[in-house]
Amino acid sequence: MRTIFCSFAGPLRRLALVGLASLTASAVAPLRAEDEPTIEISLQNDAFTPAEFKVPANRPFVLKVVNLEKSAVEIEATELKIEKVVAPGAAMIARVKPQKPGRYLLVNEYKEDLVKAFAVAE
Amino acid sequence: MLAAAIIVFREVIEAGLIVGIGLAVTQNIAASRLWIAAGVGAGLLGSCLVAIFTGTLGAAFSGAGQELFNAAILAAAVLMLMWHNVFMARHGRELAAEFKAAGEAVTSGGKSLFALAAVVAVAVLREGAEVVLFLYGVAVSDNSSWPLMLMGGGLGVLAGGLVSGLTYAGLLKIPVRRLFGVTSVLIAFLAAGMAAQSVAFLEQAGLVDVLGETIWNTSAFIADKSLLGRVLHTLVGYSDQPSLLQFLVYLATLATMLVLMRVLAPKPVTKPLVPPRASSLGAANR
Repeated sequence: MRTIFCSFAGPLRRLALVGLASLTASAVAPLRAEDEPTIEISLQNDAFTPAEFKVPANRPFVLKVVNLEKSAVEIEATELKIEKVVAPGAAMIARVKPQKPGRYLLVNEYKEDLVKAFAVAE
Repeated sequence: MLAAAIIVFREVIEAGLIVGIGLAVTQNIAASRLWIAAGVGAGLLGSCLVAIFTGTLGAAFSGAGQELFNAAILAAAVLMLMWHNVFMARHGRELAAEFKAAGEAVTSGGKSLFALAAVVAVAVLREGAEVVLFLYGVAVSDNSSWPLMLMGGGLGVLAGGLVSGLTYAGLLKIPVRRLFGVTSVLIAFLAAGMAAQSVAFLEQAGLVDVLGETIWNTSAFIADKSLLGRVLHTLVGYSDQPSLLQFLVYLATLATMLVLMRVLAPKPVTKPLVPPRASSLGAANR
């Protein structure tokens, strides 16, 4: 009985500790961009440059989008969980979780049928 | 024009639903419409401020300002909803039953009104800022069709108002006795969804990095962006690709809301028209 209890409590407590530790760690360093590759693209005259770009598959990366339009844009990539308003002349940085190989759509949501790009994970 | 209307409508639908629910929930409380209207007004004002300071906000906290801001105001809204439901669980029956007479109830109802007005303001603020930026972008563009697009945007806002009206009218169809129970459950789900969304923003900001694996992907059936997805997202917190942590926070919030309501609800005031049978009365009193 006692051993069963221990074997339960051990991993559980460890899990809680690990969870707590990583929570604090991530709170201290919100954007750990250093160890992750950063891919930078820009948006101007209703077009992304480049309109198709490679990102690493199965590992986290950072996507930076520079908005060179005259007005604000909303960068959205639902599968990459990006939804962010970017002021004119500003840039946005998004940390993206590891993705399976594939093509991921990125749009300016305000003109989603017109302004597209694809992130190709491989 | 239609495209603009759809974009704007998609943004305002959430606020529209919440305004409708807010109106219905507080229908018996004096001056509630003023409060909800004040919430909408404050939300609009906030939208414009957020729109103006998009650049500053986005650059704050090493680029995670927007997410942290959204996460914070959503968390505040969850607390407000929680407080509202607890308050209503304790005083709701009196409020509904003898409203016009009880002056005290009206003043204490005011506190709950503040909470709901704040939730309405948050809902309007969040999506409103995007609408303001979109319409501003349309207005300054070189595109010659901008008057039509602005008109489309206006139509989208009107459609959002229509959603409020329909939600309100629909909820009013529910008999007053049951409305309280229905809206309490509705608000519990609203709060759970907002809590999960708040977590999603913290995850996007990279601030929370545990239990992040996506537990299902139903985007092929009901995408978050579709109208149905938006409505379900607002009402029950639907997400097409939630993380495990989002799901757990959702369940925890929902459970907390429902348990708090249960625990704090007063025993129903028994004013039976027909005296209950002696045996059951005796058992209840003991």
